[in-house]
Amino acid sequence: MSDKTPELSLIVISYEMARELPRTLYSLSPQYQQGIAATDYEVIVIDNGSRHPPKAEDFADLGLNLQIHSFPDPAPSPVRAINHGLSLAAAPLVGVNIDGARMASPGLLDACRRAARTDPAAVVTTLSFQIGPGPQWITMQQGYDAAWEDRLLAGIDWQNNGYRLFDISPFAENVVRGWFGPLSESNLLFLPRGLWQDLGGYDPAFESPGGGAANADLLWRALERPGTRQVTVLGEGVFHQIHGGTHTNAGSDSLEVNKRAAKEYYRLRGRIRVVDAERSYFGPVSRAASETYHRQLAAGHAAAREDATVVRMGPDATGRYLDLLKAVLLNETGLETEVALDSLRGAKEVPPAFWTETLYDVPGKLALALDEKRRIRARGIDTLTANAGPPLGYTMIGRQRLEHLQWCVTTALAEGVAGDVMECGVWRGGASLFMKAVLDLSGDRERTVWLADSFAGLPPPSYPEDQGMDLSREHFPSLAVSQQRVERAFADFGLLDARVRFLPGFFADTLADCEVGQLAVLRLDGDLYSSTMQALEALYDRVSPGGFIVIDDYGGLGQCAQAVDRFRSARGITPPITMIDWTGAYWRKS
Amino acid sequence: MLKADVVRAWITDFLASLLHVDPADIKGDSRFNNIGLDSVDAVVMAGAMEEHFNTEIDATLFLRNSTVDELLADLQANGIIG
Ligand SMILES: C[S@@+](CC[C@H](N)C(=O)[O-])C[C@H]1O[C@@H](n2cnc3c(N)ncnc32)[C@H](O)[C@@H]1O
Repeated sequence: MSDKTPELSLIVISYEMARELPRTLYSLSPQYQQGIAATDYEVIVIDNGSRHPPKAEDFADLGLNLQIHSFPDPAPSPVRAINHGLSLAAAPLVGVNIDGARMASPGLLDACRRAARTDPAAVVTTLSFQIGPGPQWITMQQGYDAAWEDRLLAGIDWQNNGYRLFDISPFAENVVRGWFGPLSESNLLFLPRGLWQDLGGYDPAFESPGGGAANADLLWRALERPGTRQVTVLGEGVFHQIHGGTHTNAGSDSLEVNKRAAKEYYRLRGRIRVVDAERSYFGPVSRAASETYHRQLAAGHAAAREDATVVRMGPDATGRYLDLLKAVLLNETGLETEVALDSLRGAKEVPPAFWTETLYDVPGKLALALDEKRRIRARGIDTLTANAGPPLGYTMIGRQRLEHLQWCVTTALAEGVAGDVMECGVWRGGASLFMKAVLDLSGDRERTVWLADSFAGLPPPSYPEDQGMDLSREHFPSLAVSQQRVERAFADFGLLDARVRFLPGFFADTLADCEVGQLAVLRLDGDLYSSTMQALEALYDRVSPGGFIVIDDYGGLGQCAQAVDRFRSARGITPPITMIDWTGAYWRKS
Repeated sequence: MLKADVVRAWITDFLASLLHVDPADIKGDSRFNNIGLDSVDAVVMAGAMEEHFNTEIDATLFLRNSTVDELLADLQANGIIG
């Protein structure tokens, strides 16, 4: 392609990735990568034995300095294929993406290049995320699959704004050790060429499928080498697409697979010690990256605001009221108690120290868990978290969707979109309460807030699409909240009046002939295929032109998305669906 | 069958090394999540222990217990240690 020696070589390992590799290569191509020229880097794909290996000509239009080689002697472990790739690399800085299913964010390559310049023996590491509602080894057991993921990717226009990958990938692989904790491995890392040679590449003794702990081993050996320095790139990341991979996507076998990898490592190295030396951090690198990434990094921590410190004549009471209301509805102000209670989950008895110490975090040990909880609450992923239940607040939709709901209601008001606002599936009422507060603040005295719910939890599954999804009261009692309690919550917040109307009962019985007239905002949060379909069929025609249809579970629950997709295609609805976060989605009626 | 005190000593050393904490801070009743152990680490510990003691241990056993004491009791109940 060019006679110039590239500055960067990146080895990408592929194995049976016909669906994933094209996206990965697009995400590495010059039309997507920012701040780096096509001639600055080369990408070397080593295919490790696919039945139909990828061909370079299929990717000719990417404008990428690309080689694709089939490794002649494929084995279940990619280690030898990687070392073969390393021997072909021409640049002084060489990277390995051990899993070709991992897409890159748009500033990744340039950030790695700049990070490497900060130290002559830089070990440049990146952070890994998994696409979809949660850790894929868990979500795939709950139905997360390629079609589901395709839908998420289609909803964010990632080709034009790759930073939105952060929005649909709330699960960060290193998050358990904390953002600034040591990494167990880096799925895409760059080292100076000489360092690769000193290390002898990856160690072929790691023979486990997928390489086992070879990647961790390589990183730790590099970091233990005197004079090297880890530089972790922030603001960027790699994003794992679901595929039949041996590690990330082993599903219920995942425990065994990880156990065997650890066993092999212990056998070869005689101990296991995460290398935790001093590190540097590089980034954030661009405005777009910092904005999206910051949301995930600092999610839930209210940023210090100028107007909180500067004395101003007329503080914006409206804005502050809504901020406070959101914090309370999400129980962001009560997270310490939630975290203390979480530490008890699963315990057979309450240790006496709980009452005197843990509850007040006297030992100061809950800070990490609290940070984690803040991030969880911001993105509304409480219900996906193994060690916790729904939040102890009034809504489980998380801050991002709550902010978005505010935008929907204020936009509808500002643009004069006619009609009421409605939520189908209200739980403890937080999202509806919030819509009511926004309406009242605007001075509106006409519009009604409609709340449709059984007020007794979800119906047991009756449609074939909902098979296996029994979220009914018997199994999930915490989802059953009485109308009285929701009314009480409205009253407690001073928001109960004649323009708050309830439609108690299962949607199948209540919605079709309900009194609801025109709607400006329709929020659906009933989880099931049946609940979503019944609500759309009964209410969609009442949504005014320009009105908002918000689907809470589009990303998080496959059957909900199926109902929406079927309804939209049956009705020929064309305005595109846009993801709000990893699960919420919306469109506006044209 | 493995000896309980040998296994306890190994687990303490292993956790101290893995998590970069002082072995004295790992007590029988310290809760794993309070000393920084997550579920991935627990499975890693299972693999290392299998290799070290040349035995087979179901990984879930490491996930369903939240202190060293509970884990040892469970290993005992499953006939892995005496
Ligand atoms: C996930 S919760 C809603 C969360 C809520 N919007 C919030 O802000 O936290 C689901 C709610 O939908 C209700 N629901 C689901 N399907 C229903 C149906 N077919 N008929 C009536 N209520 C239903 C349940 O009773 C439950 O309150």
